[in-house]
Amino acid sequence: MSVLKGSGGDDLDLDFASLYPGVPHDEAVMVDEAIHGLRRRDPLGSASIAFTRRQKFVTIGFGLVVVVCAALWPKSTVTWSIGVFTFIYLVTLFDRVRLFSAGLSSKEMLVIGDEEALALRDEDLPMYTVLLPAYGEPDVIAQLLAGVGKLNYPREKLQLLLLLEADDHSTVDSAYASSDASRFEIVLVPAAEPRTKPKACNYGLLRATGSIVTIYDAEDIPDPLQLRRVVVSFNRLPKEVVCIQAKLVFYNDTQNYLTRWFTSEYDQWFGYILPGLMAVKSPIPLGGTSNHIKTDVLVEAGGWDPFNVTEDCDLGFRLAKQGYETAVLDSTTYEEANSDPINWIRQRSRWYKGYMQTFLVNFRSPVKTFREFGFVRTMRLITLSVGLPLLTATNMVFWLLTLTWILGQPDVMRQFFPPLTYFGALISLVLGNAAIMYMGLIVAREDRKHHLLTAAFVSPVYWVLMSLAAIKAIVQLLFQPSYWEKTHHGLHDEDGMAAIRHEVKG
Amino acid sequence: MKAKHDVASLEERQQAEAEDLARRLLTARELTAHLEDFPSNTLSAGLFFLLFAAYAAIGSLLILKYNYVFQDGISRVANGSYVLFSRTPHLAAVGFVWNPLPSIIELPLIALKYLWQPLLSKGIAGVVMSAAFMAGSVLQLRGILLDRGLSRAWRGILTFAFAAHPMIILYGGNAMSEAPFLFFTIWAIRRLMRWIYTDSVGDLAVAGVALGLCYMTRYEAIMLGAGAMGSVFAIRAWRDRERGLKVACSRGALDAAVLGFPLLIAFLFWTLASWVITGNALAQFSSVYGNAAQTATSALASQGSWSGFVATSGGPTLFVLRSLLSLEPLCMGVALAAIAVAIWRRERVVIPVMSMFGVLVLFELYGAQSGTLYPWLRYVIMVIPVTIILLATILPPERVPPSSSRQRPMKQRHHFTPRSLKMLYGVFLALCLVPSFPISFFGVTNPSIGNQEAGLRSIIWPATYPSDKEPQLAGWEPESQLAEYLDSLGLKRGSVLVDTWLGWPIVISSKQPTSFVITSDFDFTRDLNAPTVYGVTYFLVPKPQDAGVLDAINRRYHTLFRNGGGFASLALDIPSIGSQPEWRLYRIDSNPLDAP
Repeated sequence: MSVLKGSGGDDLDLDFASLYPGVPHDEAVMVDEAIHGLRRRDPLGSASIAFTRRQKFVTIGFGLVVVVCAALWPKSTVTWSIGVFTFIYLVTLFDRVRLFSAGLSSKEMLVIGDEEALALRDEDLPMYTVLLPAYGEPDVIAQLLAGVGKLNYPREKLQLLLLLEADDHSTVDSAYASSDASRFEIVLVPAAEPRTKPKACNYGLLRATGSIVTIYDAEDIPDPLQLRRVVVSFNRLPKEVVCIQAKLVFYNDTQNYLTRWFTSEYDQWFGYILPGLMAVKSPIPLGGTSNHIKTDVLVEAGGWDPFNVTEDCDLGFRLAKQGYETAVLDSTTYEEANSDPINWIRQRSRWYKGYMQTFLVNFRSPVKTFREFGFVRTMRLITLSVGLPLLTATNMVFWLLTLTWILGQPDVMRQFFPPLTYFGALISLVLGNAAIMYMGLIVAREDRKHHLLTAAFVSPVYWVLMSLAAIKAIVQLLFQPSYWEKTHHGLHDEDGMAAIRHEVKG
Repeated sequence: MKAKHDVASLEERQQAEAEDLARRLLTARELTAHLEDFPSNTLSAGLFFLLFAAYAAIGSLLILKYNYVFQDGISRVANGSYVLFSRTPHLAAVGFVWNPLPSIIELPLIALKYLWQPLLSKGIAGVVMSAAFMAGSVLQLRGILLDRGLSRAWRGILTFAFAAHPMIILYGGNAMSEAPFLFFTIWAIRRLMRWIYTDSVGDLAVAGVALGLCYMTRYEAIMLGAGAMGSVFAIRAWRDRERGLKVACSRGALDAAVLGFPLLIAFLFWTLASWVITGNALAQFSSVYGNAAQTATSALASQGSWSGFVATSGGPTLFVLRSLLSLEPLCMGVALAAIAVAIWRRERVVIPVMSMFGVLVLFELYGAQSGTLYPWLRYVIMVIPVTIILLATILPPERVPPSSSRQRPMKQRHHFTPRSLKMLYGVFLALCLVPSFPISFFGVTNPSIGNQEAGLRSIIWPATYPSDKEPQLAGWEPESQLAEYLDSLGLKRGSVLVDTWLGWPIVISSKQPTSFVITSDFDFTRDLNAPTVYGVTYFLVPKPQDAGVLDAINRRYHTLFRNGGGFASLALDIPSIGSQPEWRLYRIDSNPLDAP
């Protein structure tokens, strides 16, 4: 029954009828596999348990040590914490600038010309599966026709799997009612927790017939030649490259300042940092959509983790762990940026929480991770997963300290900043913030997006939002590790929808 | 129909020219080698060390043998020494009146004073700093010539004209900030000239960083930055003009912003640091020691000499003009020729060079007119590299850096010079460059032009100009003797309070710098107000005359120098020699607050 390796469901002899009431047996087996497949085979590789007992012990133990130190030697504890964080800031800053300049000057991004993409004959193209998870989107078919429907790929070789939740009646009904529904293979995912995008995708993966599989959100507008470019790339690249990430770009970047900042951030990430990561052979956290993966490898790797809220990042690292590589393709998928601050914070805190989950999953046994990835790649794994939310949250502390300093408590500050820390912190304050802003400016210039100019100069406001989201994510991970953030449904404006589509469904 | 045909043939011709150019491009490896900011090949390294050694040797000789010092340069070495050797070593002790980069770069050398005292006490650390930067300036200038693919002969002539210019040799070893200023400026110009062809954001960003560092050296960098940003804005907007005014201007603004951002950060950082530490955001302009106070007291003090002198030499405008012409006598002609050639050839590389220098000269003119800035010869030293760069642009490029733009590459027309034209150009070059040597030599040794430099003449013609009449050759002999005397007293830490504004020669000459309470110490004001409470036993104070008026002790206790202010008794009087002030050492008898 199950295509997934190990085919867990049947062996365990579960009572599917009571687990999934009202779901036919074979569908129940499949959905069970989609949810529990990965964690049955590799319990530690799934985020279904956020902290293992050992990780709980270490985290609490570390927390206790800090608290005891703070109680016994408050001054030295603060001084040392500031020193350590300053050092981490400097290292990550240096690494970020290095990755950026590598990305700026590198030819790492794959460029496949139109002629080359079109030169492939239809009979040479492989079967391709496109997963289209959607939830609460009554006009999903119309959206798909405007975006994914324009993909240039022979129809008989393209499997478009529209993944809908079985109890999302409005969407299901309107999808069936549409005259163009026949172009898609509509898959109803049986109602079962957790209601996450990766679960739906795993369910779709069980039905995939293509040798390459990819995901798009309903409102995505991919470059029509993207699938062909991917095929050319796979033909050209070595066997170890099993995954190709296309560039995600927002189309509503001029809507407000939030979308401008978000756009600038995405442009930096996909246009420069990812190619930079590729240049230094780092594991690459995948973006939410437009990642194209060889199906057999994906199945072998266990699919997506439905318990991880950033399953894409997790999958990128899992593939890297198994010795596979990811390439970045110069082909754009247009997406819609979240334009509402509250929704944005919700979305971003979920991502940050997911990064930290991914870190915990990859560091069940730190020694093993270091052995598998090597020192430098492990350090990058840390900075890309737990480092990002942690430092973003700590930013708030340092901003407040800076404010105190400027507003005149220099004597207090001098106690906590011995000279080495002081200059480190000063460099990080001045050059660090300037460098991050400057990268935004350079990217706006390189991508000829002059409307991002003023946004680059006021980007610190965006950093505050990021910091708030990170603090929220950390608190949630510690106190409600398995809590799934509920998002507003029935937000009838387009942006809210777009945001929700990205997110875990609650 | 015919017009269309003409357009096509023009495009074909341009295409052919571009292909011709491509053939002349170096191989990729050679190209990256010469495109580096700091080339590491043997020739460049050799040239650098040769020039560095020469400038440093000349500079050291002038100081150690002839006592020929530029005090503004050495006082920056002193600033660096407070960071390391004061009672409370801290970086902010570098001070906020002078932009800090030269002092910070000198720190490692100052730390080596234990190996060789003159590194600090004679300011040789500053000599090394300026020699390294001047040698670097020569290499950056040579880089511009390499970027344009000029032949070895042209390169040699033009590089020599810069490196061997009397003013450049002098400032290559006198510890002043002119050398780093020139280095960062030429570096920025080089990258901007390259940007015209490459359209690369990297060139803009590096030029911006160079300008930012330039600001950390000299605040005139703001003027250069304004000129550079203006030209980048205009060039970019013009290139994108067919996209409509708004888009063209936005893109122009974006490119200008990429260039100007590091400068802005340097400015904000320095201003904020100054404000946080001293409470004065723009100390270099407006503090009690800043530029405004300096020019005010000096104009007051030397009514007859300075301002009168500027007036008699035809007013400030003529004076600045004369300074320019005495450094590069044919700079005007070269500028006109370069503009004419650039228009004829439709080449834009002269725009950033001219606008940067233009804004700087306008600033000097304004400063001289309004009396806020001395019209010193060294303030227009940039005319030397600018003239030589303009000369280099007159000869058409033999190759240009390749476009590295991710977007559409730049189209540029190129003309390759026939042999006869090159001959003509050689004659023109000789006519322009040869007179600059004797004339600038005359200027530098003539006090009515080389107002800060002319002390040189008594080294060259000691019989005609006896050295004891040259204030610049006096050094700080009295101060170092005073320091020796104080050292011999075996004073406790912090027992002599002195304002380093004029007292720096004493502090750098001392073997026990910690016996002084100096201006950058956190407790300076506290100790100044209550010396007896905090263990200060002596006040060391200059005569309140000229710059001595600004001395902190004189400002706090107006009568101290004259009569001890009722709380101190005279311990020692050191008479004035040369331009150095008269110093008095007062022993503090009682709390000044209790004085009648």
